[in-house]
Amino acid sequence: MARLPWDLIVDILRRLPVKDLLRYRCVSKPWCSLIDGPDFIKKHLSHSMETFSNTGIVLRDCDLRWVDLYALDSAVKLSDPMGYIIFGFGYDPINDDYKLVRMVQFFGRDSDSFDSEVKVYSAKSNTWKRISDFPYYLCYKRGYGVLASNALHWVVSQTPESDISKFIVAFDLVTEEYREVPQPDYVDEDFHMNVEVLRGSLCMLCNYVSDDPEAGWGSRSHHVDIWVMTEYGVKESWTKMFTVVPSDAIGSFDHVLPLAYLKTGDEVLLNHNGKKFISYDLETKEAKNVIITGVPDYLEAYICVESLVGLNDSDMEISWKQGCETRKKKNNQRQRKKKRQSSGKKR
Amino acid sequence: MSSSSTTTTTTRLLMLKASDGVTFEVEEAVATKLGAINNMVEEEGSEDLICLPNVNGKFLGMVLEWCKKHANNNTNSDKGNDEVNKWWDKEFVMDLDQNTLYHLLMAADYLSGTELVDLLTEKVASMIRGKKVEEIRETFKIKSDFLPGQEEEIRKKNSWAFE
Repeated sequence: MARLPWDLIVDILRRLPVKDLLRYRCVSKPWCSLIDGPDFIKKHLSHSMETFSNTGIVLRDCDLRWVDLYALDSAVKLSDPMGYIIFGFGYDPINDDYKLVRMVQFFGRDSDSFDSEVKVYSAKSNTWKRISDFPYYLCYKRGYGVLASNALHWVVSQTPESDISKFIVAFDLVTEEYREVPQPDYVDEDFHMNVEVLRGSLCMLCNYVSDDPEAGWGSRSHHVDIWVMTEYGVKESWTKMFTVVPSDAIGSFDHVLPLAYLKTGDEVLLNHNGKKFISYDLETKEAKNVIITGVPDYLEAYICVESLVGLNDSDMEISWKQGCETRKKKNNQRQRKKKRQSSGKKR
Repeated sequence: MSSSSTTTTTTRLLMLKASDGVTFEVEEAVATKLGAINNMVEEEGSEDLICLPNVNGKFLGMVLEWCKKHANNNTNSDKGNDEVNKWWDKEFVMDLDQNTLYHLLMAADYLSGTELVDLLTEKVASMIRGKKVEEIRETFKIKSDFLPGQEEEIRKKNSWAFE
């Protein structure tokens, strides 16, 4: 049986549909590197353009669908990657800079693959910069990075499939590097993990979910343990501070999130199910409702310190500079006009 | 086995000699549809016998048959020439077995018969569309050189293409 020379194989392959080629990457290493190579990609595209092949109609509603232009038979749902954008914000004391972190994570619906692109905005330089990709899978798609000890924290897993074995990853706002945060030794590891911050210390929430099938949505928590890392980065400093249990006083919940110590220091304010506030007394170990008027039905709550820090300082400087330049331009124009007029006079 | 074409007083005849010694007498206008022969005629001028050591008689004959058909069709000034050529091309490649197809393709490539290469590569492409990876390896006599797990990794990346 004849074996075709490589040039002819390339000539044959550039005529094939994309789906076939992605499959034939598996044929051998030379085929794989050919199909992945920029030269072949260009050749294939220009052949498609010349012959009007590999062409279809993309339909969009909430999904994307593909109709082959020449078959016009059926619309096939495209497995487009799902993507999320997650932010984090904090202060870098070494460079005296406020930084915004923007992470875009895409992952396939069926596969275990995902990609994350991370950019950091510096308020000082008023610029965005891309940093190394985030090599972890974000377990929660909502919420900001939790700021503690000049680092932003997220609950992550190695891959979407290993979603059960979660851990905490920190992004250091000074070094702009990722690192894993040590966790305490748990007695019972069967919980949903989340991170929060209480008076600057990193907190971890272990939400033990009820097995009761009767428990409705929004009321599944059996209890929540709140751990505090009293000395940042030191595994041994994790302390289980308190446990919130559903009760007649506060009702059942899906989750609670600690927000702050109240003035006296022996009570902690928590957000209950993203709806209302409760306080937990560290002395009596009891929780009660906190009634605040004008609270919306559903909310996310963040602790905020009022200050005179202006993030737009650098922006203002720039607009002032721009103002100068436009003024200069106008002056130049005026001077040029004058010159013209005066030279006209001379004539 | 030799073949000759009807001659007119104005057309020059070329002798083409295949690797196995079989010779073909062909009109110059037909043979020069092949880029390689056109070059040789232009370079060597008066030479009437052209040796083609890389093509055997069977496949050279088939290539020339295709050239003749196209040359004849193109001398007719009918509008339907393209249609006739297309129809004839279809017939030409329809019943070729894989081995013949590959040899013919290599012969056409060697002789720089661009249009014929195009026709034959398209035919091969149509034969390998929508196949399984294993079938492709069989067709092209390729052994997988992936390490264990590597192929699985590549499959995973585009799992939708295997559905």
